[in-house]
Amino acid sequence: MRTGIQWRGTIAPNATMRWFTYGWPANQHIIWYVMPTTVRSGGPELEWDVAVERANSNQTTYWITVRNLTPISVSFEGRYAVLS
Amino acid sequence: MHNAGESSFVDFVSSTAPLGPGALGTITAETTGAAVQPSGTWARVAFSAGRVGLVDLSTERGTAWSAVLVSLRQRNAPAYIELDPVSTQITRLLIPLVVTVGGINPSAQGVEVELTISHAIHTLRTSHPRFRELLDRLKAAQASGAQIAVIEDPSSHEIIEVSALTGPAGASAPAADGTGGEPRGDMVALAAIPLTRAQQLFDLMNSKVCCPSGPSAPCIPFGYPDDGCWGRAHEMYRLMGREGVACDKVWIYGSLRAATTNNPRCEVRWGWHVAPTLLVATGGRQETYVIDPSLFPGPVTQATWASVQGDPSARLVPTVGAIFYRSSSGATQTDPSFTQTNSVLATYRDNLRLRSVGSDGPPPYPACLPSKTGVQFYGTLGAGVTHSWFTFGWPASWHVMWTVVPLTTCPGAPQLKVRIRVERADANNATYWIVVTNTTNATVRFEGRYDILSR
Repeated sequence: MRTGIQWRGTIAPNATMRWFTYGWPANQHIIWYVMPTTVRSGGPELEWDVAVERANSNQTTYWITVRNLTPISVSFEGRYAVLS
Repeated sequence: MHNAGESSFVDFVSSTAPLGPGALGTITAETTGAAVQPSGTWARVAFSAGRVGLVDLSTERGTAWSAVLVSLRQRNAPAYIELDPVSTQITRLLIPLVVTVGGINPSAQGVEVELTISHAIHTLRTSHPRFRELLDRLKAAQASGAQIAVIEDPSSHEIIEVSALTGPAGASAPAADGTGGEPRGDMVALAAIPLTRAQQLFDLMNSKVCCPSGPSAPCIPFGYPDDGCWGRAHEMYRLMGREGVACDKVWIYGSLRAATTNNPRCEVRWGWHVAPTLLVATGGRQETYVIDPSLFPGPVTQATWASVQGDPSARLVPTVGAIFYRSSSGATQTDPSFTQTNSVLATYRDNLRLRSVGSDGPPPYPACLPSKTGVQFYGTLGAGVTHSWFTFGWPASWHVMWTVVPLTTCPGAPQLKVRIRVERADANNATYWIVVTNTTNATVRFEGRYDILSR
């Protein structure tokens, strides 16, 4: 398994944004998750979901939707792990 | 036009128009007086000989059929229609091959028929109830050289019907832009390119793949490998030319049989096949590589390309890329304006769309896929549908991740979303519930994957 940071983003208070990342080999098992870099204790800051597109026979495109659950801007890392 | 029975015919579409529920009663009263389900939105399809059929636009199949009927009308191409004689609802839609008969050869099941232009092998079985009649029509067409409409089962390519083609539209296929010998102006020695460049060009071609449910120009129907290779190859020739690369082509003739995940029978049979080629510099020498996304996930050597087509004695013939069609006897056609190319692509986009809403659903077909580690299940989800799968007996001490990846290729937008739920079934075991949502307006196949992060 290997892990990495695909992008860094900032989301306005209570906003939702979507990112996509393409050209991922379709045979690789990949998961996506986010980690806030803006510190704010006391409750969850972000939630996310992942949608996936088969762009061609070899490649997938991932669409990551991130929601800011707080009343402040939150910066974060968009992370991935290649499981196999 | 031919009328094989009261409810089936080959004809040209003269108009298609959506109907509101209020208009439906008028149509049914005019035609048969029969009741049609009042729900849904319907399209009224009129044919040149005066028949009328109805298509239910509230279904994925009906929407696809309506789009194909519009395409056929725009292309002035015939349709094969089966109607419910009571409701006048269209129950079957196929796209006839508008072809000449090149050869009729005996086979174990009946006869194999060479049609021009088509690289699929077409079979007329002796078990067909009208075998003799259809064979006579094929022989007459072969003798006269006349174009006919051949209707076949879209998966097995067994001939269902043979019809004369004398519609009001004239119905002859447009002539190729050029016929005859090799185009001299294109006989330029090609410079070898690195394999990395060949891979880039392959990726560019592969990125043009059609979405099975909504294939529209200028996509290339790689997902319908049954027929139309000469159109796909010429479109790739055009696209590579735009990249400044003059490709050649290789033609293979024989009794070809290639495995595929994109036909419900998991294979396609061809009398010939063609794909573009590139001269590639590899380790101090030059080698011809084939660009054929219908068969391979990347560029392959000519020998590899030929080896998967099931006929060791097949004959390979290289030509310049400008040759649009080459018969087994060596007669050639060119298509410098790509008019014929566009027509071929449109035909097989429509065939792909019809296959996708047929009883087997869209390609690829899970039964044809090799077993893979890390894939727990294959799923198929209708347009906009959410469904839950569960898998039990997983040791609760294991760390297991679940993902889904579409198998149905459809570039441009996300297709699936997934949520994972977990149940502690007993002290030792967990059950995972994988809830998948199809976010598109067409059926999507996918594989459900797992990874055990630790045990």
